[in-house]
Amino acid sequence: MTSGTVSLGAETSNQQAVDDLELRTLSGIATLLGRLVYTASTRDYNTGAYYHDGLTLRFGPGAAQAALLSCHWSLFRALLLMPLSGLVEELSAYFNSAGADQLQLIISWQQFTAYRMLLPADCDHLSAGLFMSNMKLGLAVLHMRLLKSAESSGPAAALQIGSAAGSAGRSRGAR
Amino acid sequence: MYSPFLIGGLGLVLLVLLILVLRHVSASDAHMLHAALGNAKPYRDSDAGLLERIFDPADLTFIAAENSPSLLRLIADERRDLVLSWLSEIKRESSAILRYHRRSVRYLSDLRPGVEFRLALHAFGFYISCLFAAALVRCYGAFETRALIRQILHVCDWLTRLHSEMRADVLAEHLPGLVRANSI
Repeated sequence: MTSGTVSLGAETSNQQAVDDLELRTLSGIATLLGRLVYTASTRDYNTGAYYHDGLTLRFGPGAAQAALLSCHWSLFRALLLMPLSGLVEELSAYFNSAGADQLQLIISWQQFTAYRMLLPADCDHLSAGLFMSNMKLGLAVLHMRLLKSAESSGPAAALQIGSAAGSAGRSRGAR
Repeated sequence: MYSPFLIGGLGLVLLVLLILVLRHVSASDAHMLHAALGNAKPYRDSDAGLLERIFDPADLTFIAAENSPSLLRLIADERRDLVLSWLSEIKRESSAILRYHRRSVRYLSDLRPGVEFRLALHAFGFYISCLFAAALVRCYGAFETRALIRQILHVCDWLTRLHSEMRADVLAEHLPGLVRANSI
């Protein structure tokens, strides 16, 4: 068997693993951001290696690793090149689907910059910078919208949101 | 504080400088510059697309529609920082190319001072352009200076092509076996 045949076989297996991951797992997640969060969460942050038991069982560890990396990159690129308006919609839909208090989610994402974990390995400086910047802007827009809607719905709601944002700000300052 | 004449003047100087740099570049220059064995590239292929995203006026319109001065300030600051960081990165990578060139020309028997001088001039023009662009971005923000950044991108594109040609020349001249092995 030549090395070309082996390489072609590996590529086919990788592509099958990608298709399987998209069909069985990622298609069940409604938002692109949710899919990116899921894919990034399959990565071990100590080693940088991806783990997915189902894929490994079906296609082997190499193909599973390649498929997860490939999907991580394509989802990251899709969000990176998305206009800011689209990213804000993605963030809003993702926070809605999370089933927790939107404001708390936004504040903790802003506070802990959790989205930094969504960057794929070997991401170049400009892509990483643009992604981080867009996420920061998207979160700021959502935060501002929540504050405005609370103001329009009454002083009690605005006070509640203001105190939550204030405590997050103090916490950021303390760090 | 900054008069429109000053902005216009600086812009004009930068454009003239860039035109001079671009006009002085010829294919023969690239062919004569036997250098650069490294893998440094002044910018990656995706940079142009990413810069288009950074300067996308639709983002600014979207933020402006939110009617919040703090959000407008935030997007201006974020975009300015991104462009400044990109400019410093391409300067650093271009310096790496020139370092490779300096290293490799030491071993050339047909070194031509005229060509070396022209390359030094181009590199100087490139650095000055980057410095001008950085100064303008600092003063006026990224969105206002996007046309100038696009010009810088053209110079980067030229540097990338020059680097590839130099690399191919050196490989062909000094490592013909490697070129043959790569082409098989």
